[in-house]
Amino acid sequence: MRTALTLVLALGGLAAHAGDLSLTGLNTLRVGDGTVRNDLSGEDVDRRYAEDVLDLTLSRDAFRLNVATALVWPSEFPDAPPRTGGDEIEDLDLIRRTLEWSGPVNVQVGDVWTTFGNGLALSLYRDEALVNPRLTGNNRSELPTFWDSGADGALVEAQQGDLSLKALWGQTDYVGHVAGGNGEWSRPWGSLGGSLVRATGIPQNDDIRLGIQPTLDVVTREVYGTVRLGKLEVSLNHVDQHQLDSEARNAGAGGLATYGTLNAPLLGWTLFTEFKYYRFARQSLYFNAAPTVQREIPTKLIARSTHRVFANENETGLLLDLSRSWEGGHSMRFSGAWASHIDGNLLPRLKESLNAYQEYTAGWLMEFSPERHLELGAAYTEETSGWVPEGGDPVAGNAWYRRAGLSATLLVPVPVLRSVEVAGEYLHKTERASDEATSGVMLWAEIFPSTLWSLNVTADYEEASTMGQDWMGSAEMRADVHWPASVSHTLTLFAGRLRGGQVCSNGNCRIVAPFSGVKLSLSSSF
Amino acid sequence: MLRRIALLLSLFLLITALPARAAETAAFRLKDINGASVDLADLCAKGPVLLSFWATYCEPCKKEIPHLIDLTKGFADQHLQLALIAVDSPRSQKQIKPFVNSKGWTVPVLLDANGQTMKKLKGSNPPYTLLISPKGEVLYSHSGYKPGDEGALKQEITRLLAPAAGKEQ
Repeated sequence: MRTALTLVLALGGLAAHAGDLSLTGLNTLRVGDGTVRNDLSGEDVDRRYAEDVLDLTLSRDAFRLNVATALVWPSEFPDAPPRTGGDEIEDLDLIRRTLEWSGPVNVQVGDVWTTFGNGLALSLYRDEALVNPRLTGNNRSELPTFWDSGADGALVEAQQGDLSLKALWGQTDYVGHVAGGNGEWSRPWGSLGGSLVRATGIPQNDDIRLGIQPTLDVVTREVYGTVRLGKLEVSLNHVDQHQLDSEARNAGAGGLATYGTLNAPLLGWTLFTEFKYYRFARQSLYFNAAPTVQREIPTKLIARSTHRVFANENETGLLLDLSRSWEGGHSMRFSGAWASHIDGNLLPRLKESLNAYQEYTAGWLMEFSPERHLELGAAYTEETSGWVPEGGDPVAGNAWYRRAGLSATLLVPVPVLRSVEVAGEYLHKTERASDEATSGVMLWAEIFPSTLWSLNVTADYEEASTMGQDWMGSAEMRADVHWPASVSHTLTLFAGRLRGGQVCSNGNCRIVAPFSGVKLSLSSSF
Repeated sequence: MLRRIALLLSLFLLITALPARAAETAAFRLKDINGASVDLADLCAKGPVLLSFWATYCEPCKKEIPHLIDLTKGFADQHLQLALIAVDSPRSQKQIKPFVNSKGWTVPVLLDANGQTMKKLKGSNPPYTLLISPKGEVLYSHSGYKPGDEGALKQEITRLLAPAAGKEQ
């Protein structure tokens, strides 16, 4: 593998000099020195890492070769990176490679990612992080996210007029073999689509080391459609799933899922409604990334109170969102989301035994000028944290949390510094079973002295009634440098203590351990 | 050891070849939020295109886009068009259209699930802004947004589009 990689790089370099190939790439270097806290033992464990990911694309005419390599001494998260079947990257590895040909059809071979419809039947999602620690790792506070559910195989895409077709065949890390097709017909008034996917293999939660034979042979069928009438849009998506192998351990397992949206103008406001009813057996298939039907709260502190998305596979949920903007830049947004496990109920029921969740958010942005704005936000959530099996005990190992938060961000122009953003958030959390209450305050300021660099200083303070006081402080400096003209570098330097917890990005959440120390990241595109 | 030397030599060859390479060409076809298929070549046929990769969860993006809309209006004589490309995951793609409607944005909004097109154009995270010439060449790219960046972008666009406008005349 390494010889092949070196050969690819050598040929790429020579070819680029010869002018035969177009070459682009992105290189990310991450270095860190500090400690992470193990939430089981409560001890700080040294973590020193250095890793480099080079994503290189060589193009010529209709062909395009993309290779991503990782050089690790060791990785930031040493447990299990994606796309290597759970094996730790040692030294240097080729972690992704795709050969693409674009003609009347688009053909990709190697590591492929794609989505059918809304992602209910199939969503092969590319992870941009080098690592994907699993539950079995050294630090259980770093939970899996299944960000990278890509397949090693082939993908063919074609489009003719209003009709688009996709066909996929491959092997995934998390399930096993997957094959499927999708067709979609789009018109100005709406669209119609359908998918058929077959998967065979071992579900992620079954331990391969115990010698369990493949227990999954599942067919998933999907239909979906959208109707548009001006700004009014209604969409509906239905999936059914059934096990083919009657001898398998999960014989009889199956499931269904329905997802719908309504987008409508309402007295100058925009109303958006989302509904889900997911009842997949065996916690679904891991190449699904169905919509979560909740808002991703972008503020730093309050974001920790969002719903755990790994409860998404057997859940009903509803989202109502109302938003409006006015001339001059003012805008408001209100939303409410509810979710729970399914126990004969079509709509969410706020029972602890059903892993119930509810959230309410409000946001108000006041833009007085391009250099001056004030943003206010509020959020309230209630959730049974942790997984409650159907019919299980709602108390043991779980907790009912109530969180309320406020946020404010002010951007003002300041002479010499160009502009300064100051922000603060407050979060109060109560947990009923242990009668524990926690209050947290996060304050940060960011200065933007030039287009080349910015500096963010954050103070994070949390006081718990039963656990004493805990200060977290950090400073992060970011610089964007362009040198030479065809190469752009972004340098990020972090120093301080970073509170662990849930981190969400692009609909995916992961839980990271608290970190103290220094981190440096250099990202270069060329 | 030999392998490491070979690897470093290969990387050196790659990096040193960069300044000499020709301008990169962008090409893609994506669906917009109304389901219509949009080809970059069709947009380029009308004039230069400012592409902005953004996402509903990206706060800097949401701050930058109103500035980009205003900025594009100032280059109407050069037929500069703005196209927003949302890189939200399929999980939150249905939230894009209501968000755009609530903001009252009327520019084309395309969908790039998982940011695969953004990555092909060397972007790693939103916001990522590109200026594309009518020939499809990438004239300028910029990652991130800080307050005041729109001023620097305006200067770049003025500089880059001025010769093109001169040639056309």
